[in-house]
Amino acid sequence: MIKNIVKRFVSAVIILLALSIFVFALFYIAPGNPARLIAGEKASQTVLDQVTHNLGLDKPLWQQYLLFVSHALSGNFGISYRNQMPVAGLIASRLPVTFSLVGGAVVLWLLIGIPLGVVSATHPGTWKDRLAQILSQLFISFPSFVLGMFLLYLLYFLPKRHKFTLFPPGGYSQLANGFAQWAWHMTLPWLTLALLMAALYQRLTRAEMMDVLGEDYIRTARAKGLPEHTVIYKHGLRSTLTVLTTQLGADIGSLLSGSIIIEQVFGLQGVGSLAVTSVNTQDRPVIIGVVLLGGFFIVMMNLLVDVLHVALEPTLRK
Amino acid sequence: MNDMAVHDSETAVAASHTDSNTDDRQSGKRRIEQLSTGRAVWRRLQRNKASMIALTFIVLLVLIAICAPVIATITGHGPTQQYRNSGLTDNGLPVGPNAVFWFGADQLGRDELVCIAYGARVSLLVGVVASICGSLIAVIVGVTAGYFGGLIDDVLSRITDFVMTMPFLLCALALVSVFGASIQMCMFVVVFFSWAVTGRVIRAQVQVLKKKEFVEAARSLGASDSSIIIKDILPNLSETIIVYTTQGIPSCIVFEASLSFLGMGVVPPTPSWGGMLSEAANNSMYMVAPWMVFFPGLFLLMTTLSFNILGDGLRDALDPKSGRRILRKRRKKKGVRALASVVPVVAQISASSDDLAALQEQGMAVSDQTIQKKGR
Amino acid sequence: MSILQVDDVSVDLPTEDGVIHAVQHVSFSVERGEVFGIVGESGSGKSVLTQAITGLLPGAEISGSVMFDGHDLLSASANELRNLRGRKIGMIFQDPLSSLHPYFTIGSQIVEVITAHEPHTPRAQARQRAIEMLEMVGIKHAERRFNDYPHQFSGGMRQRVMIAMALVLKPEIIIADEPTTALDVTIQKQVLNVLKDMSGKLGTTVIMISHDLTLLGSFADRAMVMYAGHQLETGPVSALFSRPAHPYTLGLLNSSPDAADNHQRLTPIEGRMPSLLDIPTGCVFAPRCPNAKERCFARTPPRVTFSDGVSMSCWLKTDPVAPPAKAEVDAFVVERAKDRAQAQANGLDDGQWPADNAMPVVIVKDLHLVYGAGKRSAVEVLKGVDLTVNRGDSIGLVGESGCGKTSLARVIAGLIPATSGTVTLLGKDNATVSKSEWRRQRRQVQLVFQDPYGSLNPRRRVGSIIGEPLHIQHHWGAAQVKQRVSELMELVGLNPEHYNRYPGEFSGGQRQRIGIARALALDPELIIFDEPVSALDVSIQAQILNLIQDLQQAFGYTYLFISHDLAVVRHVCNRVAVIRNGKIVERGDVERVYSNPQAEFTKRLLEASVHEIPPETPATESRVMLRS
Repeated sequence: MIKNIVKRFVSAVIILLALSIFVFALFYIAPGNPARLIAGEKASQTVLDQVTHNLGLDKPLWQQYLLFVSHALSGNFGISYRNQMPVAGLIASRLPVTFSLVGGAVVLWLLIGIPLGVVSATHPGTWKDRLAQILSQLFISFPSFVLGMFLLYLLYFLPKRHKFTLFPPGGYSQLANGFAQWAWHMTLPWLTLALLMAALYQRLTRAEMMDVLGEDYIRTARAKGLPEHTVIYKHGLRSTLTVLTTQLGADIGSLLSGSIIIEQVFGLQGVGSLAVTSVNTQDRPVIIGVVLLGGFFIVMMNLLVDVLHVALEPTLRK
Repeated sequence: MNDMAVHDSETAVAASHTDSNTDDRQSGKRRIEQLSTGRAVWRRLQRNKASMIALTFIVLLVLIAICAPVIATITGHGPTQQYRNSGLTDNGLPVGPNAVFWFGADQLGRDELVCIAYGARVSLLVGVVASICGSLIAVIVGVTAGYFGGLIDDVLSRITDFVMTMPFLLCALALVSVFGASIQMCMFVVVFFSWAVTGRVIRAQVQVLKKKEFVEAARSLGASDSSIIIKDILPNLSETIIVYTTQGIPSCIVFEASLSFLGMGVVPPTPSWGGMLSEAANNSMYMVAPWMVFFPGLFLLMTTLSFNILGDGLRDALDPKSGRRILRKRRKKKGVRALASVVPVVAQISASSDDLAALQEQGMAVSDQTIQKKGR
Repeated sequence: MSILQVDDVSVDLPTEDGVIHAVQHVSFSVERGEVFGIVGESGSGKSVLTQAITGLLPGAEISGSVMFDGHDLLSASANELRNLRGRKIGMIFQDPLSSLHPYFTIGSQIVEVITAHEPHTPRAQARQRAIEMLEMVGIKHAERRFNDYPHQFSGGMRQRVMIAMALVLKPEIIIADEPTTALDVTIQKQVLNVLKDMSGKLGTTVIMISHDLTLLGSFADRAMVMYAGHQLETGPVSALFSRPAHPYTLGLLNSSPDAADNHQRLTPIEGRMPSLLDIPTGCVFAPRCPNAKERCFARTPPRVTFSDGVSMSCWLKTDPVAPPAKAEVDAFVVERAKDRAQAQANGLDDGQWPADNAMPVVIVKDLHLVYGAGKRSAVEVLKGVDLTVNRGDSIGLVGESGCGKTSLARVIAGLIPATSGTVTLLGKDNATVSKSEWRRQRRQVQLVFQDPYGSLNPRRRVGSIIGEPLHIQHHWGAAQVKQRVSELMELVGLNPEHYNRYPGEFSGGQRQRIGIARALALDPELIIFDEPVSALDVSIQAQILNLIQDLQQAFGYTYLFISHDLAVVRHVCNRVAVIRNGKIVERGDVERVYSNPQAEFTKRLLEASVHEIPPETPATESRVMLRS
């Protein structure tokens, strides 16, 4: 069992390395000269050479990469071309926003999606189920920015037209400045993300529960005379946890690596918007740092999920 | 454990000599339900009203896309031309839907309706082509990895895992920033990031199929690998391929729209729904001109919704037992199983797999054509 | 004093395709302390009946009356029924691996029953009771195993856990739904003994559901025979066996190789079970009944009672008569096939394969097979096997699951390479054949598989499935292939006009026929049958077994017949090899081995498979029909 986890850890590291090579290589095919970007259009050749040397761009490719890796392992991801700040610090300053966004949304979507999925699975064909199916089909089809903009219009603009502010149009208030303010600003982004994901989880839970409720051991549980809620939750839902946690891990991982769209729509200064600006300004160190961070989150969450599975499923233990 | 009865129609020739007596007496007027030929699938799909409505919308959308130049001619507005005089009010704000601009105008005076029609071309093109290409790659990779196993499987699986772990929107941005935004780039990026999930699913299915006895039977007859793959494995994958390709279209469309929204996909002046929404979001233009969000957003939603519904309906039409079977062996599912199955009326009944499944099987084998009840 | 009284119960199941009439007008009573059997093939409604009356089928529509120990089950609320289940009615099911929750310890699953019905029991006491129960059913070190998970137990042990779980609250009655079907033969006997033992100790009444009439014969006191939802015959088990009153019961007995005399032809029941969506008029069995008259089709037969306690639903006034055994293979078709094969053989170049009829078809010497060789998880499946198969032989390979018989067959067929040892197939060593020789070798040895649903590609038409070997090996033209396929289909008893249908449109028995036709296509020397009838109902089994025998008689094939079912092997084969743990522990003529087994394992196997059938009682011998 431990061996298994170590194996996965090793492959996670390999994937991250591969990702870093991929991104690094990508930027060497890119046209444009970052030294020029920093030095400015009018800089002379000597200045350009100096800047190039400072950035280490005159060294061979593989040397630059190795240097990069060794720096990265000590937490140094280079300096942003655009504003000369350390990349690590830049990203770190954005993390609270991203964490707030994803954290709150996760709680919301789990609270909405899973119970609705259970209700659907235990009352298939009834109006409750049909309604839940229609709603989840609708929300699962909503592109995030469309939903975000619709919500902004309905819950910010329309009230605004009637002279009161229901929800702010975005922006971020630090948790330190008060929980209520923080939550109020995050409500619309949370709602957008949560509605979309809740639909997915409702469908997933429903499908899994229906699968599980057809299993023989559920029949045994009923034959034992257990109360129905024990059968459904203790015996039934428990078995769906494996699939749900897999999905959750994947979703959290990919959302942490950048809920770019939501941040754009609501003007949140999270990691995602950092990514967009850095792409627009060709700020390579930042792009590399953000992509690596994203990969790291995904790989971490997958690893966590794998460990969780062993705890959840006795059949995996030796 | 089953020996199920299937009844011949009167028009079919008398059954084998072991059954001739029984069938003559029992035949009634039932027809055999062919388990999956194209016509049977179509018939089953037709019964699903939601899918039919979805299909109608898609057909209409395709027509709109094809006839985009016609629409441009009718309204007299081109897709990229700016009509500042007629399109903007005196304050410089775009006009709402009126007789001249049926869907309103955008902040540069362009006709929203015409832009939507041309944007439909982009969305459909990218969506359908990317999904098909992605499925093609997924099939090749999945079948090769699943069938041949061993080192090939290891390598291909590692690659698939790697692609799946990449933060796709971020990497897409990175790629686009290096190579520039264009429709080809957009399509490449979408294909690059969407084949992995389907590939995994197909690989798992191929592994299951490979263990089935009919594959072993084929091998024991001396069939070559390629013959087995083409005749035995691929036909049994067709349902999965069709369903995943259909369900892949909306996600490709949304992916493209997202990229365009960020300015990384299809860039102006080519109209695209994502781009339109991006312009609407700029400076919160849509607060004063809500039609700039409403129409592209609605079309995007309706398109995605229709393909999703159609995908669901197709899946149920292709495998009518998927929703109704009560007992299904537990499968270890990794990865996304995003879409739920249809409601089985009998799901709440958990009964003996032998008897009830046997009964259900029987039920399945009889179509719902008129059943003449005898007496009683 | 009857503990369970079922009166005119019918169960309807509404589905999307219509209403399934799963159970029709069934009446019986179970006495306290007795063992009552319910026998039926798949689709007979036996499981639906018991699950419906205990409230496990919430969507079902049940009519009639059921009185259990003073409670009216049909008018009881869901909560009352739930209360009864586990406390007064225990249930065990067929597959103990899937019937136990994989994520909870077995101890906690047993304790759960106690705390659900007696919530004030202290935890320690509940745990103690559970451990005592586990020990009673024969689980050693129960204290330690209390915290183990279901997957850590073997099949037989798991079923004992199920029994412990069902009996821990000492219910009045236990319903065992095919409790031994999924287990190995030797374990089956053990589990049944546990059940019998426990019910004796605790005074529990047992209702046992099975498709195996002979099994019930040794275990039950009285039994009820069900068919297509109807109750055909009920009565003391001795009467059912010695003097079956209903033609279906007689048919079941005659189709079962267990009860029949060895090598005497089985008389299968022709035809197939009807659909349950549509209630036919008249007797439900009439279409398949050899004794049927016009009246049987027109009106439902009355229920008649006999003086020895047997009751049945039939119009017959006399004992039913078994139909004469008929050939499964039409003689004319055989002649035609033989002529064609002769003409073919004269034209074909089969010079590679020696026509030396004296040489054995297969010689296996010291065969070893290791799965995953070289890795740490290597498993030696065959540990030095020697076997000789002569032309015309019909050799049975008998053993329990995992003994290696399937692997042995595959190695002989050349599908899996041996790890060491030699396999000589028709004079050629399997290890040394070239690729093209291997392909040609396929023409000489063919397999028929176990699963009628998994062995045919659902996406190919039947004609293509049967004709494929001809395409691959002979590269014949389409017309020639079609002709041969039609001939093959006729040979195995299928209508050749169904050439273009898909496997899904055929029944299980018919699919096995298709599989056999496919194996015959190339006119092989050796046919290996891998549990060909295990997945079929008894009445259909007999049809296929007869077919297999007839084909051998007509064409002189050599058979290698793998089965876990001793009775089937005894019936079909002339020699047998008993395999245990990758080694052949005994071999010889079937008669000799069965009547005078030498090896310990063989003795155990035989002892476990033989069922003691109670003899005819005088009451049955001299019974009369009473007014119904």
